[in-house]
Amino acid sequence: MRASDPQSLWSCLEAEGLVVGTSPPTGVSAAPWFVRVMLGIAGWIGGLFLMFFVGLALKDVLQSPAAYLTTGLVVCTAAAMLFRAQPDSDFASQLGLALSLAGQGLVLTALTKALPNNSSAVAIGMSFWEAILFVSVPNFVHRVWASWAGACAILFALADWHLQAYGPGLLAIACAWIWLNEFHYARWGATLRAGAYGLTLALIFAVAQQALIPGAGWWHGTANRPPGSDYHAWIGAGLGGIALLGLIRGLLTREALEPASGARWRILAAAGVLAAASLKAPGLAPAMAILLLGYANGNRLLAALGVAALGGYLFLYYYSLEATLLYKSTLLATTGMALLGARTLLHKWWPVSRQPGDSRA
Amino acid sequence: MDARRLILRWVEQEALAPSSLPRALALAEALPTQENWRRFLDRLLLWLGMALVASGLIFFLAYNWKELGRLAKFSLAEAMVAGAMLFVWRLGLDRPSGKAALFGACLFLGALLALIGQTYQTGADTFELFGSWAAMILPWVLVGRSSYLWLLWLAIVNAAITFYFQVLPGRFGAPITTEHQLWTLFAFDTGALLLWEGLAARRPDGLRQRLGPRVLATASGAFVTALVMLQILDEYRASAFGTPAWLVWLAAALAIYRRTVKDLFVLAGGVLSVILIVATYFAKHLTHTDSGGFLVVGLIVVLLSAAGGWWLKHLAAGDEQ
Repeated sequence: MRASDPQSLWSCLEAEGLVVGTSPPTGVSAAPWFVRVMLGIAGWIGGLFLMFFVGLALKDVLQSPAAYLTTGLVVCTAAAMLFRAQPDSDFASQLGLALSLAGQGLVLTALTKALPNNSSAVAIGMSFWEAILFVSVPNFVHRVWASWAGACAILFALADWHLQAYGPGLLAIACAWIWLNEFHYARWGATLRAGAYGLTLALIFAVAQQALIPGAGWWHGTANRPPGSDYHAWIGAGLGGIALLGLIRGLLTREALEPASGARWRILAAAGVLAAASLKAPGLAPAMAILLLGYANGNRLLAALGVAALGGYLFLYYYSLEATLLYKSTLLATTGMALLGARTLLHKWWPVSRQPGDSRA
Repeated sequence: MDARRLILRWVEQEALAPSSLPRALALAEALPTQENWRRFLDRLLLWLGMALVASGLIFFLAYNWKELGRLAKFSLAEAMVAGAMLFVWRLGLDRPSGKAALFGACLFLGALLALIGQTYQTGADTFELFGSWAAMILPWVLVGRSSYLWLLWLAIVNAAITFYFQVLPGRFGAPITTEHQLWTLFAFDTGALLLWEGLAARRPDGLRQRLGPRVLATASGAFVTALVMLQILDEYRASAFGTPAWLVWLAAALAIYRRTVKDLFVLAGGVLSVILIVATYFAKHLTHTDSGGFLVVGLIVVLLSAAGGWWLKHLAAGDEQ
């Protein structure tokens, strides 16, 4: 059955003995995703204005990194207390979000002023602070932001250490693990999903960054490359493919497909084609992983993010300076033909079971 | 709220045991069955394969070939279009594979037009390339009956309008400004949105999907919001029609998307538009005096977004009952 409303779904589960009693109230706090996005953007704008206010109002006090840090920590703490004191208040949530973002801006300013020549230390400091905020602030939109900002800070640290090639692959592995375990840790689902959405958005950012910025993956002909960067590029790109293959292996296990079955190996082989193509087009495997995770978990928003990541990556890949257009052309066309060939084999090995009145293939 | 979210929420509320979650999700058909997976993989391999092959061929043409003559380049580009149309003819437009081939043909035609412009240096402007492309694929888009094809066509027309205002000097002595560009894009996308919604109400095909109207409503709302912001920030040069148009847009969105179609997505966009306009207005008039202006604007944004979020959440809860 596909229940159309909470009551009929509850009755269906009750009939199967999965639940007892009356269904709990759904409440009004479960906002659709686009309302949360709207609140997040508005909170960010409000936070910018509050940060300017604090910066201007306290300009005589904010003369040192320590003053910035203290003010930022106080503002963030006030925001966390507001979130905890009024978790169901829309006004408190929006004010808390804006205050927290302003506070984070002040903490970032403090770290940048205290460590002017050490970008990686600033980034690691910010990622720690975002992790603390993620744990201590019980708000979905704020947790998505903290997770995204913390992951992006780590990406910047990796770039400072000349290890940026690892960013997308590591994030893809983290996303795959969390989304695959979404139902396993369902009790903490809201917290887990907020973190996973933040990491997924950071993964899309990392993939776009790698396609756009020359030398981000150190793939081809970038001057002044540090020693060993070719190996980093290979291993980093390989991590994305490993994430995709690991994810598909996990999904096949979840779908109870026999470990030694031919179907299992054929599906893994088709995924291997994409993983191999990702060695030269590193965004393909992470974007595909997002799409598959979205479909597998019945999460249409995540699947849409995967489609957007895939389309966006192909668009940006055109402008990537890491390889010539001829090289990219050969890679994409060959991979595309391999996938179309895999579709033909799919029809042969796994024919569609036609439903009454369905003439489409 | 969809079944998946409801069930996950019940687990968090401890109304449903975590061990019962897989069974509950299966009963609610919230997760794909093996047959669903079969169809999904079929579509995924088809569209991704087609997208990669099409991208590869377009990249191939864009490569600055010295060894390849004009005849070879044009033969290749035309063969791509003809090959895709051959697939359309063989597969038919009722099959997803036929639609994918038609989508590819539309993209290849754009690549062919770009090649003509690149090779012969006809003096044509970029907007003419996009305009010709949109005009030439229009019959295919009409017979394709696919929302994705329509979105591609609308994106090409938007690009043509944008480039038109970037390259042409003013007509009749009047200078072309950003405002003219925004008005034209707003009028086109709003007209397309109304047409789409009108047709979707009558036709039980792909036009019923909400993706197209949501994309168009986002574009239409963004352009009218930009017009009002322009009016606020540049009040001496911008026309005074932006605000009335925006108010009409908001009222129409409220009427249509609360009564006729019921789509909160557009209303959420409307709330964001109000926040942006009010923040821009107060930022212009309050922030150049002292720091207190920033506090006032920040609090106004917080208040408006909290009120908007509360309203939208109550509407969503009401729609679910």
